[in-house]
Amino acid sequence: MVEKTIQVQAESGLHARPASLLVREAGQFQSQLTLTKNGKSVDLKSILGVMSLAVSKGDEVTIRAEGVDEAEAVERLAAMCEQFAE
Amino acid sequence: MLKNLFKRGADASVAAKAELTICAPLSGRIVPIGEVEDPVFAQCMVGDGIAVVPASDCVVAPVSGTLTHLFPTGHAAGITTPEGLEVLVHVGLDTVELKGEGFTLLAQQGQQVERGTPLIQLDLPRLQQTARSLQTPVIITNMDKVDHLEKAAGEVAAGDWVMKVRMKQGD
Repeated sequence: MVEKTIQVQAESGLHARPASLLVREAGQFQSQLTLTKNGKSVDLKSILGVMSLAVSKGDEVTIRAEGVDEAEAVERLAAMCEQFAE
Repeated sequence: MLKNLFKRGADASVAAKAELTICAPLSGRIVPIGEVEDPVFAQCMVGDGIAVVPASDCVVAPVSGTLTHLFPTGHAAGITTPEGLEVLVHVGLDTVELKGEGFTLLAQQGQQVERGTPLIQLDLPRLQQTARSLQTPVIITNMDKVDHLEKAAGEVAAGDWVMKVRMKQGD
């Protein structure tokens, strides 16, 4: 299992646009992926799940992966989260 | 006896393929998803569906299920049906920027809702001034579960069908 905690930079948090980009990227990986904020975890491959966390700018979230491509998944998704800056 | 077992299996799969109807969360005119003025929706990045230009001011649940997601700013709501379909209603475009002004929540995230349950009250005159667009996408966010999707067009009243969904067989 691999995990990484990052701070979200996107101005509007992880809402429709960044959430859909993130989920689409997550779907490329075979690993089980979760996103956690304040102890609540959701499936990172579900747009509704990611949006339900209501992640705002400045929030800390943890990306966790378990599976064959876990290291690459966490690295790429964490980088995406840090890059969003609408 | 084996024959009966198989027969029962076949019946169950027919039931699993039953159609699910998604209703209009608002009254108004339907806009095809490809014509929505935001590429995130128009290019179906969030999922497939339709949009409604609101003529009524109360957003109601388009399906029955769990209100998985009700954004605190009141501009978006997501429902997961017992069959596992996820339906998102996003009121207006770029409305996350309005930080809740013009939206009043009428329900709570996590609660069970029936089709037609009021979710969000809109201050339409105000939103018509402040929102970039009031096109309201109604989107299936997990299209991988969908086998076939039929969409309505034209004018609808809240509660009229806007999409008919045939789910893929469960795993």
